[in-house]
Amino acid sequence: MFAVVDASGTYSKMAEEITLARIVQAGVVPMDTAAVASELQKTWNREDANDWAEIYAKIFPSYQLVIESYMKARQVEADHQQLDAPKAA
Amino acid sequence: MTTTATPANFDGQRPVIDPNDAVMLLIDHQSGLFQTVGDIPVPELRTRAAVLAKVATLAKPPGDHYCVGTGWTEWSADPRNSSERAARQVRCPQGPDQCVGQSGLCRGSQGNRPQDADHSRDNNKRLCGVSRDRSGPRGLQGVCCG
Repeated sequence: MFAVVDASGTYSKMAEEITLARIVQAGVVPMDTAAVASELQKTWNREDANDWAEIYAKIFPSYQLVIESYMKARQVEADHQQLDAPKAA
Repeated sequence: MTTTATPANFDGQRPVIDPNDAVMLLIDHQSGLFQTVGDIPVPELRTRAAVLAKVATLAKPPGDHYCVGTGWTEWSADPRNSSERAARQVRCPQGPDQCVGQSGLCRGSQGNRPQDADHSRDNNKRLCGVSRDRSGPRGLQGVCCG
């Protein structure tokens, strides 16, 4: 059994901490939302990879930067663009 | 403080999620209760709860029940049998015993075992609800209208 700690809320920080300590002592494994997504997704080599990318961008918006870098790199590759390093040489 | 408890219900296995044998429960993620949250920014909490529901939909775990807000949502998808993915969503605002059917053909496999799938398979009828299937550990069974 897992508890997704960052997708759960209570009325105070102290209540959160003491409850987490208690459920962990009872054998529940704490997780965060991104870990749940990763373990359910298992691999990027699946048809719905883009849907999963959107998931991570929602969990931590800065992941959008990673997605954009990746998409740009793939575009450069697909368009056979000349890389910057050879241009400067 | 000792926190070295044995992970519960893993039978000595590594405590990781097996997407093919998983149930996700969102408990009391209701708009009224969200207002009482004070340990985490509510917009982030709300986003993550919605993301978990989306993730569960993408992962299509077997015989899974999603409770979003105050309602239950039952997917009858069996990831090992693509034809079962056509089964439709059933909402159970009063809990799993009282479900309101969405449109869709009645081919609901609401249990978590292959044999449960056949209990309610009748593609000429509409799925209008689910009932508890006492034979399964967490099985819910499709109910056909008419």
